[in-house]
Amino acid sequence: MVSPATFHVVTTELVVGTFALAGLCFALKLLSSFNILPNSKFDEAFDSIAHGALLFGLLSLPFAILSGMNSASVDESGFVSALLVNKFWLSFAGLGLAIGVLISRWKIGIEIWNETKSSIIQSSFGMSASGAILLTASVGGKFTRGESLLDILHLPYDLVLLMPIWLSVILLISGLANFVIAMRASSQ
Amino acid sequence: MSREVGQVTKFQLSTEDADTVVVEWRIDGGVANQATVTGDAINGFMVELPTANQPSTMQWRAVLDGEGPQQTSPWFTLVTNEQGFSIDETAVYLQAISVLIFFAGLTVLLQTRNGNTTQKEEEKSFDKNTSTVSEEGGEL
Repeated sequence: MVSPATFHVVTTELVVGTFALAGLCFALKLLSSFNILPNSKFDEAFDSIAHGALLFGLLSLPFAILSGMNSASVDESGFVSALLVNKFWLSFAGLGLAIGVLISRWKIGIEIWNETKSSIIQSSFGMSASGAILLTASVGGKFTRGESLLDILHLPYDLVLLMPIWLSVILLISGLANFVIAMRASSQ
Repeated sequence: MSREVGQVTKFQLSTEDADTVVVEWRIDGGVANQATVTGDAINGFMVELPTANQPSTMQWRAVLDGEGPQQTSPWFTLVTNEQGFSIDETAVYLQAISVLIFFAGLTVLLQTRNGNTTQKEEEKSFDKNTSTVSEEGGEL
């Protein structure tokens, strides 16, 4: 029987690898939108790889979150560290961004790259999803090994960024409202 | 007996037939120091042990003087632990779900609204071009 800690390592590697690849392709696509990169034959490949990798990472992410919670015994002893709290909500932020990016691409199609504005939005949110997941992985490294690659940035890992419940509820309602408005707009 | 880092330890020492009380403390079997003792035999003695600024183990004992020979208690151990982390788990779960829905909704909303605006601009541009062409056609 594989322990949750081992399973978490495997799923984390899948998530980090795929999100990093997606982030890189979104960055290249953004450069391409500004004509910084020459209009190459790789343009369509960047789009496919970015969204394909993001989708694969998205499918692996719930397993990584659940195995992470099991290996840290969150279900038994709760959140025993500020790092775990930050890791938890950051992974959900990355998950939300990735879902939004994929739904947008599915709804609009390849035409999403035709406009500079929509290209910037798509690339930025795709890179943000990637950044959130890489930051989550970095916090994980800090939690298990006491150090991480992003230590050079001196990020306040021990500071718990926890909103009051009323603010979370407002955010939840506005998020749902955004979804409803977006779905109505796309059906028109 | 345990306490947290930075916590002051104050307790009352009940004695019988003791006129003076001296409380000694030491860390890891080191040199014994004297703790602050206030009060008297009638009202009871109050002992204050120093705070610890890191996880450690302290030992303390009481030396009692009064009628008869001097009495010394055995060493008692006081463990100092790191401050425990506690957080409202409901708030954490709610924030995670809120952030997920908010970012997903925001991304989709921005893209679909942008798509609709572009489409309307294209339609307007198309209508304008069509009317210009028909006007030109009329003149001819």
